[in-house]
Amino acid sequence: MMAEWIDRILYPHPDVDQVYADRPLVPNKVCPQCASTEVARYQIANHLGPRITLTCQECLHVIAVERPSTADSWPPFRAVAYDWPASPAERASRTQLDSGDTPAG
Amino acid sequence: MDKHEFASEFFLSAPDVEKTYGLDLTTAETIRAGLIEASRHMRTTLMRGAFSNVVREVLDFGVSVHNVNPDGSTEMVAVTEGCTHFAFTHQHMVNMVLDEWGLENLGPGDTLVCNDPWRGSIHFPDINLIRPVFVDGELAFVLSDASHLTDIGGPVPGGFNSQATSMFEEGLRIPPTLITSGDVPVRSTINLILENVRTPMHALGDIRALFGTLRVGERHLRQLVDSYGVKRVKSGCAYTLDLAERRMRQAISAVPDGTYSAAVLLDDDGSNTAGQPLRMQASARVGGTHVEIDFSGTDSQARAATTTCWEETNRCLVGPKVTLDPRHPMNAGAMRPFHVVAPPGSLVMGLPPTSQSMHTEVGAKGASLMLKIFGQMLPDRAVAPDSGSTGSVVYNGTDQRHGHDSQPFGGVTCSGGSWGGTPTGDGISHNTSPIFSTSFTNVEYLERDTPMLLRGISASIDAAGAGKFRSGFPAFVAFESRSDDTVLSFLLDTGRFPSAGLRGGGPGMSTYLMELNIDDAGGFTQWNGLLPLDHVEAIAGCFGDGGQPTPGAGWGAGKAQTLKLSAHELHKGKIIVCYQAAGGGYGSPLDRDPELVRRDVWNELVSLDFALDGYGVVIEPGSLIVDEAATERLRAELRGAGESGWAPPPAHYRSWPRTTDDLAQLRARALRTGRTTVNS
Ligand SMILES: [Zn+2]
Repeated sequence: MMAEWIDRILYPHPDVDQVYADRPLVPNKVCPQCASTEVARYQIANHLGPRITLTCQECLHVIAVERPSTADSWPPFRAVAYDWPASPAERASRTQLDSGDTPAG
Repeated sequence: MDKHEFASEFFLSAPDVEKTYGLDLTTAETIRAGLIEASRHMRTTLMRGAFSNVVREVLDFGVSVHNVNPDGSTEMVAVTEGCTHFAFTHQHMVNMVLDEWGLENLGPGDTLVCNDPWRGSIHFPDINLIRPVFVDGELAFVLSDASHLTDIGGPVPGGFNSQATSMFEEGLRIPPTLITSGDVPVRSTINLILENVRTPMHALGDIRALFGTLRVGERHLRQLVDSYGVKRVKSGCAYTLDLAERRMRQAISAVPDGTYSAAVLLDDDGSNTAGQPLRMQASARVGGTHVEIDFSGTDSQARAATTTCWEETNRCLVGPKVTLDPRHPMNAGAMRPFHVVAPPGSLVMGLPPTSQSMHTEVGAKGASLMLKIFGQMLPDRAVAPDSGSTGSVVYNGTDQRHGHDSQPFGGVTCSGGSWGGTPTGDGISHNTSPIFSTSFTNVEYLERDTPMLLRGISASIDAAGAGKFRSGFPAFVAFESRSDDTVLSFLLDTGRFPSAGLRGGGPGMSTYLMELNIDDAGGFTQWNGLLPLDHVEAIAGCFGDGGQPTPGAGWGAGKAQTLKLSAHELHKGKIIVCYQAAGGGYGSPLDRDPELVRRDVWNELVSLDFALDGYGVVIEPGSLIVDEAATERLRAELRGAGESGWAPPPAHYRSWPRTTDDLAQLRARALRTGRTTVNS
């Protein structure tokens, strides 16, 4: 039942005085708006929460916004049981709804 | 919607609304108002129902209504007045909690609780409830609300542990958890909370109020659905969100493309070790109608509790909201134009298990930082910085008054600092940071329900940053407790680095904490915030020789090396006095109308000395009439000194009385009848 242990619940204290965001450039990616090759993929928060953006560093054109994958480690914290199936107790009301036992809504 | 569509056309005509949303404009606006109305009923219910003073008086709560998008994300369509930061945080929190829990696992009558800052909450004391609303068996909307509990357990009563080096020293952390299932309270969750806090009766009252508030919100939302049908209400939600987005993008389009940056300093991390200041740095890059805010260059997370863990990614949007589109009701549409970069491990993206118990001061300074940055974009709207400190005093203990059976008590007061001067007028007095906008306590309730006595609250003389338009006046507050088992926590900053003025304005007064004994007459004497220094113990702040409050003098003379003090014992017979910091002044004080300076002197807000030193206005001591010729001469001389010569001094009263006799003389002088002017 338990998948691989991805430790995003405890970290050491950072060993730098100031912290800067990583903005790795995406190889061979060209900005459709200004044709720059300075297109970076990095961690952001947009209005919906944690996301990964593909943004041109030259003209700030946002090429794509996607949900972070596990490998993106974003946001920094993630629950250990994030991907575990919900227990019957946690979805009792939903189970009732799905079986038509309760008047809808 | 692509930003270029907005560049040419921000406004929608009624036919456009009909075409885009399938609603006539009147119906679209009625639904928009109906969503806000639902949130207003939620607000009223929570204020009436909550047990804790921090909810019903301080207004430290949030209530909001969210629309569920087809992809399972949610967008906050309505929120109403409470503590400002919830208007930003709940948009993220609802998404983060529902992503983790899984929409497919929720049924009617379920309510989730969460207080975790790594999942969008602000701090452990905030209990956030999230409730899905099903229509015809489909999840259509989500309601959320939050309030600050009086206590959340952990080592420090009230939950603000400034010395905590990890979250394990804070209080109870609640990951997303069912608190009702099918509208029935989940006993294990209720017990988990009540058995971990010092004020369980208040906690249960508040949780019930939060739950009832969601039920009320749901009822009003269903009335809207009954009137218009779910499809049209959801179209109205899309209209509501797009309208806020359009307005914000229109405002951004007026900002020249480019990068705007600034930095602010916090006193310290709260560890009480005279540590280094903490620096927050940010830039905002504007391109078209898109803005990217980046906190790169900010100090790494603090060793003690002055850090935040996610919330600055959304709270920072208070800057653009206040500066660019302050009048339109807030919703998630106004957040769409922004991306925020907050590097992990920094002061604004602390990694677990860091403590963020003093998140408040990062929040207040973060708001100042954003107002600085966005003020550069539209110089006409720039205002001088506010106090940059929460200014809250948190009290807890057991009530040893006769008949109170040593029952636990607790609460929060937010007496307010001040806002900076503006291009058109003086700053607001006794007001908290725009990211909080909380209210002061009802004093009668405080003194009835707890052993705390408010011994004084007023403006502090000479505290306002000088300027053509000065800052507002911050409060000084004095508390006594009638129970020996009383501890206080202080959410304070701006002790070492006064809030600067803007465009020639002067810095405001910094923050001070002092203590003194109740005198033989059973009280204490003060005049406009001034105390006899020989009787005062300096607790924290920058004190000069003989305990004279002196901006920039260093921590040395105070008992503590920080203003972020937790669990400070307030014994019977003592009075603790907290001086809030002021904002900065706007424009040169030499350009202030001398008549306005005279009025401030007449009202005992500005001393004759500071009128002279800070404003170059000469006022005759007896009559309080401005000597216009002398004023013109002095101002010309000061202006002539140029940039290297004269700058407005930091606001503070220069020569505090030493003895009670000195203080009595000051009061007597102020009250004598020599005045020939009348204040108009
Ligand atoms: Zn580009």
